[in-house]
Amino acid sequence: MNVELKELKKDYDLGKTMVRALKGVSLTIDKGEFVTIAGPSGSGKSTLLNLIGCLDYPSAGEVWIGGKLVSRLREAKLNRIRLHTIGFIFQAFNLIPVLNVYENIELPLLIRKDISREERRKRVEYLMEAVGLKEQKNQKPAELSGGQRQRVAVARALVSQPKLVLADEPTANLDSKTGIEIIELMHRINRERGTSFIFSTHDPKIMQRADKVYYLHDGSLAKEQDV
Amino acid sequence: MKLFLFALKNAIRSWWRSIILGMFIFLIGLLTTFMGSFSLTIRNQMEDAIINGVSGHIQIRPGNAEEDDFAELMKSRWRGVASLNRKQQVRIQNALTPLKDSIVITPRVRHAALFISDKDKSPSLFIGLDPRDTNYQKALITVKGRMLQPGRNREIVITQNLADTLGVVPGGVIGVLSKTREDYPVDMALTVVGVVQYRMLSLFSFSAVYMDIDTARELAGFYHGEVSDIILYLDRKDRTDAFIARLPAILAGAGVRVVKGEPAQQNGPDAQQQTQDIAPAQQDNTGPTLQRDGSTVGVRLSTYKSMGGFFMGTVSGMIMIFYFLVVLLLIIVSILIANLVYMMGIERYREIGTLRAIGFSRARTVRIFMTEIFCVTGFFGILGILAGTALNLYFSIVGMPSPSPAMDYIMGTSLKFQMDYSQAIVSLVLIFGFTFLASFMPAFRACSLKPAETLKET
Repeated sequence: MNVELKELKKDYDLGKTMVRALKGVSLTIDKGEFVTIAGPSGSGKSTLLNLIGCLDYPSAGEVWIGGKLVSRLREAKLNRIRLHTIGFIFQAFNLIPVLNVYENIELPLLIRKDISREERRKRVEYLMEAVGLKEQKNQKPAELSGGQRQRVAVARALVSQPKLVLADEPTANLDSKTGIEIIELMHRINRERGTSFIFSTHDPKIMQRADKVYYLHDGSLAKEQDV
Repeated sequence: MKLFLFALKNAIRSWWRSIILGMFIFLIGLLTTFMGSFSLTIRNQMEDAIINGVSGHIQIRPGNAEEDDFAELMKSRWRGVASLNRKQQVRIQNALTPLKDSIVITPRVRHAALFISDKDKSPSLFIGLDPRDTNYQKALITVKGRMLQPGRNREIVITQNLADTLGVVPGGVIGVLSKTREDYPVDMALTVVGVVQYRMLSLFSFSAVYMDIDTARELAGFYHGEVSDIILYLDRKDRTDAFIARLPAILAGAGVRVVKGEPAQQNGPDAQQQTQDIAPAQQDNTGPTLQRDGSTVGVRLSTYKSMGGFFMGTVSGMIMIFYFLVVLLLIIVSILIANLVYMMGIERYREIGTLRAIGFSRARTVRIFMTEIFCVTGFFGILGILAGTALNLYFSIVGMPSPSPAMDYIMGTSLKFQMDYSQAIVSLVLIFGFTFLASFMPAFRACSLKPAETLKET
């Protein structure tokens, strides 16, 4: 699924001061690409991913996903897009502590009326196998290592079979070896399924694994580089 | 189902908060259930006291008798002049005889007189009845002596406040000075055989003297066998409305007309003079026809509800005060619940953000929160209701002792609770209602934050 951003701006009103997090970002990501948004802390990476992921509205500019202008849609429609089209992976994993591995992965499907119980079970078991966590099926997030937790998060992001997966610094809380493993896992899924991946990082080793790297600096796109 | 389990697991995970929240809910459950039975018992006991002691379930009185609410009778200067003559009594008795298996028919004479002892004197209402009818005894607690016995004239049972005023005890003799309806003075010596206290009605300092009906007739000047009223005791209180609806037709069959509307002002000594001036056949549309002897052709009917209106209203007022205190507590608890839910929302920003990010709508996220709260509410609410019911059951067996002498007036020295299991449903609805009101807004606010805002909190 292709993503197109046109002159995207985002301001945060902090009372007396106005912070301009994005200053007119324009870029295009093609279907099936494995793309990194790189840049130092505070450069606007998370803001950009939030806008692409329909988690926030831009102050100006447009977000097009799969040829559809989403930046002006109402909340209910954005919920549907997030549920059906986009998967999220977070830096802090954001797993639900009371649910076990199986239940965490299954969670997005529980509100999908178009998916039967049997289909739900098949998808969850397939993904547990794919991310290598079948043995940990009944374990709670607190009983897992950082890498295992992020694998669960990857599986949860993929269970809806989204066309686009957004990952905000998915390796930041992991050691470098585990981080590379997670990126490899994401890349494998990208190749096998054609799912587009956009993830942010400031780790050069991780950047090397991407097809394309966009550098953000002070809310502006500094350069674009094919790896 | 899985989302319900998710909410349930969250409630169990935050067990300390669930317990704090649950304690308040438990308290509400306990209090509302307890108060439900308490007020029901007080109300029923008051009604029973009114029925047994004064009004019966239904009163048949002369058409020109003024009083409806028997609080009127507390006016010690009140003197009932209107009466039902023998002919009317016979007709009424005949009409009701086929129903005598399910009703008790009690003719009475009510009047006021001055009771005099060596120590003091005091005006009081007196009630004359057939001592074989013992219903009146159910409204009284014997403090000293005994109740009236059949075949023994000129004996009286008096309420304790009157006995205290006059300084008499059972066995003592007091004088009574009365005026007949023709305004002739009557004096008589009466032997006190019992000192009693009214159940519930003592609260209103209601005092009365009970005596046999013949003695009462002498004092009231009812020389031809007249009575002030006939009261009916039914086998069940809840049959009253249905029975009084049938009664006009039953009485009409015996030639007794039931009149409605305001009675003519015929009470008091002047009434006699007035009645003598009215021709027997003279009638008007608003009241009954008066006869030369002061009696009326028609009769009026009242139930204990209207006759005890003043007393029941006062009791309802007191119960309302109790309920007001409970509602005050509910409001305080609601504020605490709102606070807890608000804190819960703040603590769970990340979870809310995650759920929103993966596609949960705001409404669904609120529902998950509310389900969690309702799980706690349901569990602790039911626990509270069960505890309240157990407490009520205990008090229904052993009785609840009065916490202070002031409370004796409404609950006696020991109040045996009446069980009303339907109260549990009312309590449950109340608990869920209050919890919903208290928790919806904070839950809605927490879930209304933009997903990007909540995820920032991580």
